[in-house]
Amino acid sequence: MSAAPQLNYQRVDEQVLAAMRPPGLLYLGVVGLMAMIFAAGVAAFIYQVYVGIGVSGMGQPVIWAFYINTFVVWVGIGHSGTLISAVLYLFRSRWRPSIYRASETMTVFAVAVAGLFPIVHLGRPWFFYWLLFYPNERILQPDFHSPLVWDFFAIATYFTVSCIFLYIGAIPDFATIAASTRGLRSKFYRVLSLGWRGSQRQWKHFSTAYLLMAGFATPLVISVHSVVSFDFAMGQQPGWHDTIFAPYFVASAIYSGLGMLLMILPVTRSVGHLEDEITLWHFNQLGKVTLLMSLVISYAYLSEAFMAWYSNVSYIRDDFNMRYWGPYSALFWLMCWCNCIMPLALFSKRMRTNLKFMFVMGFFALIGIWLDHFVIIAGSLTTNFMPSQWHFYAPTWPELMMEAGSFAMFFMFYLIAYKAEPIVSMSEVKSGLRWLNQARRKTDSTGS
Amino acid sequence: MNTDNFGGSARPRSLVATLAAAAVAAFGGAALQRWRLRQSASARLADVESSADNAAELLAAGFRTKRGVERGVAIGSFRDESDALCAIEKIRRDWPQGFEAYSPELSEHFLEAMDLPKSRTRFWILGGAIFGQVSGWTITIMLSIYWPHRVGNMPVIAVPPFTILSFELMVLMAVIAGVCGLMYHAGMPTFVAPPEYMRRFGRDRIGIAMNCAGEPEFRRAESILRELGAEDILRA
Repeated sequence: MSAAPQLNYQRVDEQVLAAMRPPGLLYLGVVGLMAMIFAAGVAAFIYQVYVGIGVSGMGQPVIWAFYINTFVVWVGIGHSGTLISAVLYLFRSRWRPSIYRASETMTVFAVAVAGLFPIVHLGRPWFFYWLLFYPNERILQPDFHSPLVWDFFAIATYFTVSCIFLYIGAIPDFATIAASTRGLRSKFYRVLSLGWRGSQRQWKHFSTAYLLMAGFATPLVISVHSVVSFDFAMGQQPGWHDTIFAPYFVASAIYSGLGMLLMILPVTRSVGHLEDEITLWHFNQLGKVTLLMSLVISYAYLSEAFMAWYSNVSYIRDDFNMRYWGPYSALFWLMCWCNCIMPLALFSKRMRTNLKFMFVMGFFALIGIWLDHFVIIAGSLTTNFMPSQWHFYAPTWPELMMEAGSFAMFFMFYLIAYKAEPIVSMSEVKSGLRWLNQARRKTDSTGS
Repeated sequence: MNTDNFGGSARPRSLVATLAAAAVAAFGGAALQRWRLRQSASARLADVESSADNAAELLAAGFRTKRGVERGVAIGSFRDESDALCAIEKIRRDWPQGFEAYSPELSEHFLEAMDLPKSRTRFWILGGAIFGQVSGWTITIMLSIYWPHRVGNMPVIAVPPFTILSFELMVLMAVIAGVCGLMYHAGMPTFVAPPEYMRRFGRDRIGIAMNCAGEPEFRRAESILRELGAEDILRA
């Protein structure tokens, strides 16, 4: 195989800007399809508002089900974006620059989707703003002792910080696009770049601000999903009241985010012809992190099972018995396959650098985490302290349509962002050209 | 229910108003100062600016002070990063008149070679973080006193839950203040390019702009840039 030509500033610009060229029919068709599915989800929501929350499968004792499950899953998907953009930045990871923009974009839209579902879950969604503190004639204020209020603040902060992080990181790239294009497009990106010129004084302030923001975003990542886990762990419900929930939820969040990233990155890479920027080296590294998260999740499952047995509390034991052998047991064992067994293949480098396998792995990681949260949320609620109330939950068509709509909304916005912003950070790839070229040479020589 | 609460509705309103006034004073004052500086800079450059941001188009205009001494910059553009790095190091040592370097990437080597003072953005972030912490605790404590809702046998002022909220507000305010600090110190937003800026410095070239006063300095700067490997040299 002939060695690939060295990447330089000019080639990086050309390749990334080529990915932003005006879209073709296939792209428009996919965006249109996503828009239609999203519209169907919106229609289902309107129907639910019109008829009432009873159109969902929820009721006593399963008062939290599909919507909260979807919320938790989407917040989790957003986590790997900040992990890659902030945590890996602090560690000066060399494989970060090529993939962090895609993961940050994923984070912003995933959290945006997530933020809708607690509102969808409300019986009277038009009163969602009651979670905010504001002067009002009823002299009522939110209860700051409640995990749901913490959740509101955590998600709102996380969304704002993710948007700021995405935008600030993209400013130098917007300036590059403004410098590389002419006419209206150039003017548009010049406005977005806010007059960035790339002087060393600007870079100095930029690097300081970005580093410190990354320093703040890192504990935020951990805090947000810990707070989400407190929604459950603070309750007395068997199956929820567990001290391991915070680290377990953070690990599962990162795992699901990596799953989504493993699904969108191969497509982003091949559709945008970004093989020089997003290399097999990146997938190799992503595979290692995915494997690590899978092992942490497996440990959490074992720990939960041990604690259920060791606690000798009949309610908890019964709940876990029901989880392993009850009506949702098929979902539980499928979840174990997706989250614990299948990722073990990532011990092999050959599998980590096989894009088709990585795509499938990402898909199953998402399925696994979705089932994980379903088993915890709906599965635990079916069997509460009153056996006379036990009721097995099944989703209804509005819930399924809104679930599909959430994925369609995410992919639609991601596809739009794919054409509107450089999906690979040009300025950061230029900074790490040395490592990227080295990785490309290695990939060529090993053929993997 | 504590009926005393109904008499105290002015307290959170005054708190919110105080916080809002403090925020407006802090950010508004900084923005006003920035606007004034920018106005004076715009007036200074008004005689040489055109709508374009390309230095080549400004070249013919020159940049003269009232005393008639030609002032401006000699601009060298470099393709190679190591050449540019050597040039920055040498110019910093030998050119006390001052210079600026432009690059399309964040290079730690360039920043080290430029030996710039530490960014003051960090103080903005610290200030934002402190403001967030203080406002987080203030809001939660004051509103809990105002609406004392006892849940789960937790005290009305409970430290663990309020820590979570104040932490979130601390991160939020620190990041927002960081953005404001970055904008302020990096001179953004601005849509007026400095005369020495060339579009290709945003793409694939590294630019060094040396401040000059008078023809002899221009000639010396040009010869230094040529010696250091600049592929194009312009005046602006």
